[in-house]
Amino acid sequence: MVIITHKLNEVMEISDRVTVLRKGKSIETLNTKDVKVSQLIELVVGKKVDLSISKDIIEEKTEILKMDDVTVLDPEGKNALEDVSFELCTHEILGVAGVANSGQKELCEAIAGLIKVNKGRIFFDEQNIVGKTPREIIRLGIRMGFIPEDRLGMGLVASMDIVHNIILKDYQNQPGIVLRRGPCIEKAKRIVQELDIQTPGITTPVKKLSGGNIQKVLLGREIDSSPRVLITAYPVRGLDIGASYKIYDLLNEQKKKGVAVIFVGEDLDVLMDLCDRIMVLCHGKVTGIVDPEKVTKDDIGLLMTGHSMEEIEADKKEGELDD
Amino acid sequence: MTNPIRITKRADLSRRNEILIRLLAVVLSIVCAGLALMIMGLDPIKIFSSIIEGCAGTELRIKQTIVKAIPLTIASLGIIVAFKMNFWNIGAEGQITMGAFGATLVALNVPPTTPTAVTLLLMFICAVICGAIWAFIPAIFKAKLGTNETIFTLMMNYVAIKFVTYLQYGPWIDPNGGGFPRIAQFTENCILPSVLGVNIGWIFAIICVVLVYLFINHTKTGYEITVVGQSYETARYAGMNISKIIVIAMLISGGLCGTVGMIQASAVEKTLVATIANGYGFTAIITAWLSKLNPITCVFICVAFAALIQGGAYIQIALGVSSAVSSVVQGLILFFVLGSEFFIQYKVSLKHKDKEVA
Amino acid sequence: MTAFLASCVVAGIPLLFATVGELITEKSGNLNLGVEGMMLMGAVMGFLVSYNTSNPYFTILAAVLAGAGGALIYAFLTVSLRANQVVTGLTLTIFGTGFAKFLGQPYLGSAVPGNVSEFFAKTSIPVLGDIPFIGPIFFQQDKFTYLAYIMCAIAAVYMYKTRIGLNLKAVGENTSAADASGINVKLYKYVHILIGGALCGLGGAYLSIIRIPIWQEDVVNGRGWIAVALVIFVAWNPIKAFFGAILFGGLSIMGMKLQVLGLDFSQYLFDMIPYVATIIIVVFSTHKKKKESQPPQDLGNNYFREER
Repeated sequence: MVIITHKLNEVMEISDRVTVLRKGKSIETLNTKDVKVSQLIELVVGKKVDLSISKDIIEEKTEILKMDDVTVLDPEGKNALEDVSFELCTHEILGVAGVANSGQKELCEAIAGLIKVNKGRIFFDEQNIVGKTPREIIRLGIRMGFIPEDRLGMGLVASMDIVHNIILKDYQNQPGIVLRRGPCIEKAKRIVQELDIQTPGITTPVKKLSGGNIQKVLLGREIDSSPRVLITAYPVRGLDIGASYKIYDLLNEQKKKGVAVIFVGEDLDVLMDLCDRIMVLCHGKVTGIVDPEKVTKDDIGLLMTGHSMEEIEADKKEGELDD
Repeated sequence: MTNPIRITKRADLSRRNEILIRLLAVVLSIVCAGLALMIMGLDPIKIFSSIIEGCAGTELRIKQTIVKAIPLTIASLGIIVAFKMNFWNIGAEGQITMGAFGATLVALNVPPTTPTAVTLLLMFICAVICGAIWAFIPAIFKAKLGTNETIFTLMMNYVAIKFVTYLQYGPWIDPNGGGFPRIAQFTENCILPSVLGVNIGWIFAIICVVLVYLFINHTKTGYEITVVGQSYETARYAGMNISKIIVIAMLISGGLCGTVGMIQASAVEKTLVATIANGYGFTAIITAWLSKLNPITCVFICVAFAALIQGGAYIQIALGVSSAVSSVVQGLILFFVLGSEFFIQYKVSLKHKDKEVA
Repeated sequence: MTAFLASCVVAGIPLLFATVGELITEKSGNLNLGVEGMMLMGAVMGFLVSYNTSNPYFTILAAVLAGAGGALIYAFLTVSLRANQVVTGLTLTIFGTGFAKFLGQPYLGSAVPGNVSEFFAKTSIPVLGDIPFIGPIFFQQDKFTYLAYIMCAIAAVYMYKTRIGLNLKAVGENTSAADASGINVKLYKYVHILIGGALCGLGGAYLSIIRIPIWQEDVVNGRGWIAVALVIFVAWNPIKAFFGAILFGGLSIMGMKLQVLGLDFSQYLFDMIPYVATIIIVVFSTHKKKKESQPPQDLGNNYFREER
């Protein structure tokens, strides 16, 4: 049996031997039991990387976004989100966990004003933004960044270069009918430099860049507008481990600056390490908002499959009694 | 797998090689056409030289070529705007026809004493509106319901052509035409003036080229159209009003085609006929595509095609060979150029067997 | 009335050939807008061979080969060289129109040889031809028409009842899945585009041999586009195509028949109906999302395995 994955934990758990591929070349084949995760990572990335995700708990939090009883219907008329309520504060990363298609996409798009909210309210600084288009939201002076799941198909225009992808978020604020590229060229240069984006130039179509660099372009654009809320949906999907940690660092940096970050993720280890709180979705409903310091991965797994925190607590107590 | 041919996407191909491949395709197609003519028992050298003579041999013939390049260029520009948005406007033929209808509607109803400038302006406005309406109908359905525009616009062509045929044979038949199914000739004040011996349409064409170029590359709406053409999701993400953009782009596209109808009715036919679009709407799709949606390149390609059309018309008279030869040659050139795109985008090489093991 | 319906059938047969041809092509996921061109190629080659050999079998063969030949150019460009389907199809129409005009020019006004016309002459099918009402409409036609019936029936059985037909559907619906399941996608596309072209060629030949047995340049006269419309109108179903073709064929002669009856309706308004009807169908089918009236999912998309 051959399994191809970028999740090293899976490799460690189920494989007997492991071959590391990098840039189309086979680097090394090892017996899994003889190798440590950190060694593997080094082979995958090609250099030593710092593998710790730092988490600074910052006390001075203020509420910035509040979702109140939000329901969103999918095209077939079923509930994609059902009575979702939560608050989001500055200086925090709120993780969102759940089985794929549990309403994560709709959650992000509802906040960004991209889909119709059928019921409920979303407050941004006490202002209800439900029913407003993205342009109206911008006009209210609400700065929001959104890294959608589909980077090339939604967040960026694959065939356009970095400059024209930067313009995407900028042009609507330009006066008149003429498209001004000048300011965006400067911005593109700055983002390439600040995020260390590997590209032949700012006029290279973004689809020709590597996944990590594509994501940096997108993230760079979104944080350049100094957002107060940053929504990220699976921002490290498909990226190699080095690029992933770079993204985590960038998100942490934003959090320190006071940005309220939503991180939709699939790797529970990362969610536990990175996030201040984790909200778990199941079939569009919130099954729990938990502090990763106080629960286990198994608990989150149970929440993801529709159990409530009370059930889990009760089960635990029962287990203790049985002992 | 046993397939010995390996196809890979080219990373980069220099501009020079790209042009070289295209030129090679054109040369090959001409050789191929020559061989076909030889099999038919015709002298290809004589035919080709006659085509060149026919389109550029005398001043008059050059003018004729330009007259044919005008509708082709403006219609291509209209199509470029739609194609930029990835909207398959196959309806240029109908939009041209309706533009001509709009111009004629004015021409047949203004008193002959109206000043030329006024009539022409009215005709122009009416032509643009009619062409734009014909494009608006499929556009609004696409924008609101997601209706497939390829088939819709294609069908709209024939609705327009049959409608004008109906007028030509019915309500608009020239009472002084002796029962011959035709619409009355335009009066003097409805005819576009000539500049340097060619109808003023060529100036329109140049203006349109510049305007469309600026529109696509240097306006916010032009940028929006390009983004919508690449991905609806991205456009939605950026907060664009996709429906509005589709409608605007198609109004421009149809308006440009309507202008073509006006020029053809007023300056070329000097009346309305059902065949007023004369296939230009279809040829323009191909020229637009070949120009890679670049308005400047498009001019050169359209002039080349106009030369072929004009040359074909000439050999009919000069050699008695069917003008259809030029359609055949056109078709062959297109086939080869369409095929050559593949070699520009992909590299074809033989697989090395040893690499198969891994 | 029966006479009128019988002439609707005659008017519908060329549409039936071309519609079933285009339908099969589209089922493989390729939209070929070269129907008009392929019909003209079939029409001119059928006529030429018929005129020069007086052999009805060669006539049919020539039409088949001409239509398939046009389709081969299209298939090579779109399937092997991945050229844009719409542009290639339109080019094929330009090419086919020129081809027919050019080859046919010396024959303008010439008639189909008598023995070929005789071969295809109207014959009543025993038993079936004697059924009241139905018989005179459907079964007292020329032999070419019976060929169309047989072709249509075979196409229906082929598409719905055979393994290959089901695979064909898979190719058009989801090309990459079909490829992954081991279907030879390229071969399927080639074969069905060629079959489609051959049928369009037959439709053209019906026009130049039976319908108007004197060569004229505009013999096809836009029927190729009606066929493209019909494919949508009949929702990619060969059985429905049979009735759709007769309906649209009927519309194309309606005005003239009414004029004979003394009613003054312009034929050109009737000529608009097929196109308008198709537009309405296109609008409703996208709106209703009814599964079986939808075009094949991958229609119009070229397939590149590497970009899967």
